[in-house]
Amino acid sequence: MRGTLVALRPAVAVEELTDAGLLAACGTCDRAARALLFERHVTSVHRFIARMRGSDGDAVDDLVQATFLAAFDAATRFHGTSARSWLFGIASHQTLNYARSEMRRKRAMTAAVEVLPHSASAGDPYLRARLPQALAALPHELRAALVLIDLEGERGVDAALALGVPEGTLWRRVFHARRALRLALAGGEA
Amino acid sequence: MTCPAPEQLAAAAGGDRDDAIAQHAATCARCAVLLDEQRSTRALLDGLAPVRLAPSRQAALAAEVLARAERIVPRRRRTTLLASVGAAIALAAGVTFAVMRPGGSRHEAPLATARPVIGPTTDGPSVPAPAAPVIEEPTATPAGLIAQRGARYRREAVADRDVVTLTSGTIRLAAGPTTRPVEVHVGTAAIAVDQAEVEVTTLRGAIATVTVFAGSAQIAVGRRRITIEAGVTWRNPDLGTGTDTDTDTVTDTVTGTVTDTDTVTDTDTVTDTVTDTDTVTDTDTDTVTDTDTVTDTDTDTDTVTDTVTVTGSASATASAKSAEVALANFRAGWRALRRGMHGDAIAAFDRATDPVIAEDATYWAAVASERQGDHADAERRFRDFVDRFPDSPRRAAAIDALTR
Repeated sequence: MRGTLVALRPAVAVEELTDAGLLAACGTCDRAARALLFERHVTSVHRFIARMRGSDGDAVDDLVQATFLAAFDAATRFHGTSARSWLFGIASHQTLNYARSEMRRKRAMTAAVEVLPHSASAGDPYLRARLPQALAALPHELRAALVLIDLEGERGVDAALALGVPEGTLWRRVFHARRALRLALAGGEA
Repeated sequence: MTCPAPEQLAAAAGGDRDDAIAQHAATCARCAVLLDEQRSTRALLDGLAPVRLAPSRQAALAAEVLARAERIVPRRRRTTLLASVGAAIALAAGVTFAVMRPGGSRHEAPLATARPVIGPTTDGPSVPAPAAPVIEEPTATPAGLIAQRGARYRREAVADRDVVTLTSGTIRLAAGPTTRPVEVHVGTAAIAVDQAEVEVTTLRGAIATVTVFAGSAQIAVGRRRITIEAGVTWRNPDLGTGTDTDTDTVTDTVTGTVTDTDTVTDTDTVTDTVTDTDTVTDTDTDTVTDTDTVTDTDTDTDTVTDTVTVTGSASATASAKSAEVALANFRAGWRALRRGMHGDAIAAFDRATDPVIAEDATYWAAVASERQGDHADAERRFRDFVDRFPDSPRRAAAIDALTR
């Protein structure tokens, strides 16, 4: 005698959630939602933190974890629409706090006003090899603005929101970050 | 044109092409150099070696993050180790509460649990929980508590509930179907939170405001029992100027485009004054909906004041509040759906109407309706979803559901 085949209740598929819905679900301590939030955004967050921390690999892993743990904890306070930008903002704070705790905050860069040497070209392999180090030497707020705009391709308005600054301030930081980067590379050449 | 500001140059080099700046740079050597420098540095960054996260490392990170996130709950439970001390403190608090209230010698019924909005309904069909829940969650965990910086509070587990004694600052509580209910004590007042999300602020050692984001909460101030529903902020009238008249008065002043519903159920025998003032200065087409429900069954003088003030051209405050309430309702719906309480889930999702979460809420309300077995309602909801959100990535799933 054969039994009756009963359709099992389908699982709640968290992948059928927008970012806002996913974060709301994370706010209920839903493990599946947390896992999906991690899966969706870990690559971007990891890349952002790696750019911010340079070659400090151990710190990158710790900061990725700290970022997502903070995001899970703050999920009920997410009211925006871009989870990616929101996570970048958290990652930026975590990176800054980490640097402070290590007492390794970089010295502030004085704004360069003179026209800088212009020998560097985009195709220069020597300069490219030194870029990560020069990037890591930038002050936190300049580096965060530069990474978000020039490396992560965030829109100015989203990057400004992530860092909690007006858009004009963000672009000013990008301007000075690019100049400081150029100055660091030029100084290394001399 | 005068030389552009640094931020304009950075933006112009960052993809936001600006013809005026380009024209200026053609005639100004300094700006031309700066602009070129910005562009070439940006191009230089394109040459950075890509950062890759190996799948194995990603998996290890995911496992560790999720495990650490789970461990946060037991860490919070350490307060339960103080249960024996907590019981004594709670007993003392209860005695203090009874003694310090006006008319404290009278016997008062214990603070009733707030009337749950999210909870088993009596009018809907009884839906058993799934035999094998998708996510196993521990029963009777402590309610979530977020304290703003500077908040001073003490939390104890007492029998089947948590007692939070708030001295100053602001805390936010989220008590779900699987968490213990919470009683928040502030001075001589108390707030019962069960299956609700509530924020409590204090001023000079007394409750200043109670905002309910989902569910409902009951406030006991003196002999008063006030039930606050989701979306409403209750402000303690005792902290402002007192009002005392001999008649029941409801004053409602509205300016602008506002839909305002005030329901006052009043069964007392002496004096009540409920003042609701909404002042909205709004020059665009926004609509602000404010629904206040105050239920009052006491026998003395009450003053309940609810003020919503929205100024500016875009009613940003109202939008933020609306989004916050909608997200809280979505969370309540999600919890209920996870527990197989489909009727509650639908009710909560239906309250999550803000655009920030409406797409998810509409879809999942339809799913909950389908799982509840109400196929006609599910079909209506899926059809509504397809019509309202034609670009949704879940459109195909909704159409698929319609053909089942």
